[in-house]
Amino acid sequence: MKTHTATTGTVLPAHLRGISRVVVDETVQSSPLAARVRKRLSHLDWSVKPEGPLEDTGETVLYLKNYKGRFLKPCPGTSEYRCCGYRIVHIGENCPLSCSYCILQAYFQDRVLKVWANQDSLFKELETAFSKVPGKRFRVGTGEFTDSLVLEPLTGFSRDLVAFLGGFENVCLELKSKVVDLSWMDAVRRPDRVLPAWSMNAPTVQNQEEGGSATLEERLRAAQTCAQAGFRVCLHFDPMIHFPGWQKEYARTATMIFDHLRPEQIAYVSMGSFRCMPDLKRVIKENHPQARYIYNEFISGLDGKMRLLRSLRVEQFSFLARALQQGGLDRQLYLCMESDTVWTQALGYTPKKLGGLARHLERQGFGE
Amino acid sequence: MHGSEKNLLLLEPQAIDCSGPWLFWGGEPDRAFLESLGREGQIEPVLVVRQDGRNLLVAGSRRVMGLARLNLPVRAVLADPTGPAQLGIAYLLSNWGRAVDDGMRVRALRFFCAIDVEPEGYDRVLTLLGVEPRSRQARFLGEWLTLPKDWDQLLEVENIPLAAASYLCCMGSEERDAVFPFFKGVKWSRGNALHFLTWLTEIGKRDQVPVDAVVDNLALKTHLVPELSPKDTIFRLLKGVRKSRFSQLSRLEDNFQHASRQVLAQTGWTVLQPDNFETERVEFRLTVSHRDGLEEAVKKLERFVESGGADPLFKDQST
Repeated sequence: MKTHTATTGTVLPAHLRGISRVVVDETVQSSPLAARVRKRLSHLDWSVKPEGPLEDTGETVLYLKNYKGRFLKPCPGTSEYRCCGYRIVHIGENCPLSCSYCILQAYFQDRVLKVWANQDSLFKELETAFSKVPGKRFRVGTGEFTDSLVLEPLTGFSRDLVAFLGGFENVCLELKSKVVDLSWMDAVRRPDRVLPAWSMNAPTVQNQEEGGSATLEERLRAAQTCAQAGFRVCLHFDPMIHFPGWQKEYARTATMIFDHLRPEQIAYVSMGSFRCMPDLKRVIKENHPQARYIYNEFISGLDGKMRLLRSLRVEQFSFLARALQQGGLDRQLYLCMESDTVWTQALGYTPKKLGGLARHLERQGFGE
Repeated sequence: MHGSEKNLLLLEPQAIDCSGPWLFWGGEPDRAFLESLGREGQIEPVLVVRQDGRNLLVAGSRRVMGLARLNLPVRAVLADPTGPAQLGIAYLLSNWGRAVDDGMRVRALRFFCAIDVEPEGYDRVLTLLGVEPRSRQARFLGEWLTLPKDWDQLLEVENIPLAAASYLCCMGSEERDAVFPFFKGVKWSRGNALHFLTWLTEIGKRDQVPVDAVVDNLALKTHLVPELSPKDTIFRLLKGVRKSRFSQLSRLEDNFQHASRQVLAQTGWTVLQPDNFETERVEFRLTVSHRDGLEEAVKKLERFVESGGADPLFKDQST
């Protein structure tokens, strides 16, 4: 009989209990990461296969893969809107949470949770990149194609990564998540180079649309723990959702933030409105029929993505920005993938005034 | 179901039973066909089976009707008796190559669904109807077959596109009944029909009310009046539904249109907002046929801008 208790004796978080089996590429079956997962999920079936595609059986499979692609990638921004210049450290793909708005539903057709088990290759590539130009700084993160911490109880990937990056003072790593896992903290050598980050939203959105995630209260308590340990944290209101009563709800979240954190403990806060490639709307309709926000007033943006009508976006950004500014935040606020027009209307200035968004966030990230 | 020389018959038209439900697409013979029959005679025999002492027509109803009118006997091939599915397939095979529309496809498929044809047989029927079994069109047909038969006549007269089935099949009977009148007397283009149904459905989901309530709330049936042309009816229906589905955008468009009308009236320039107010851009267009016309239009526009007439185009576009 399968249990929800890992061999280590700890109970698996609810979002990991749906994993039905583990598959590993034979070339990485002896890797430290694979050994760790095997120990922690010894109650599940374990199979080794030659490298190559994994057949989709509809199950939630954890697949430890020998990844052959690039590990360090630019964030896929578009030229029509201001990109934050973040770089992705690619550690795996997919997520066991079921956020209704998640773009990964459209990116990946299956439920396979892929983790790149050839960490030695990843570290080698990162070392080359980060050592190449002396003095060049990198603001990187792992939360683009997966949640940075959602598989941490099984893989310990972030713990390995922060330990590795401890040797690179020119690198600032952001760990972006919707769950609470702080097991990586004691491996950090320089807390000023690691930015724990949590997604924020209206309480109703968290409750109804972010299946399996930690509550806002839990996330903010974790952020508080990090801040007390000397880390500066990041918060991301992305995607903001337009729904009846949104003002009261986002104001509530802003209040909660300042109940847990002081402004100087926050490196930056992003705001982004829900946007997606048109096909995601169909996927959301099928997978999350309760999601009503997809029937908001969306138009086709300059990048071909569906975006909320500009006037509605500006209204939401302005409102939240005011609430966060009242709590003491100022230049920590930025907009994710927005035009200068929206920046001006919502915040009163453009990224140019900040010296460019990527450079501004780099300075914020490195604590200058 | 094979015919051979020994199975060739010569029958009086009245001796052939043309009431088989597998004769999906039978119709009255037109004058050209009758003239051809009279001049050339019957070139191809019809297909019949003999069951319970009757000659049941399998394919060739127009020929039988035409020959009856000309008081001529019918040459027929007698096939072996068989079940209804095979009779239907024989009819489709004998009509192979004929131009088939979605209304005709639905009529044929209703027959095969009523006799519970096997899935493989259903796929074969789709193929004979010119439809790839795993295609979007096959999906739409499958969805259409879940609708009440009343809708078939609207499809046959092309008032509504087959793709509308995706929306209609998700509605309850009261919701469908509420939208039926909008398609009954008006021929909709595919794009307009799908927009209409999409917006109605999405308003309902957004506001958590059934589609029939949306129809009532927007008083859409008031646009179904004989005084309006079909084109005007569709225009008003779409405008009413879109205004509810995209209320803020519609308001911005109305304001902009009002301002742009002033520009056109006073300068001759057409003004457009090119990107659903995602930017504050405004596009000015002018058509002239000679240089003087251009100079005059530019001067008019200059005077108009200097007087502040263009300000409303740029003011509060997004709010």
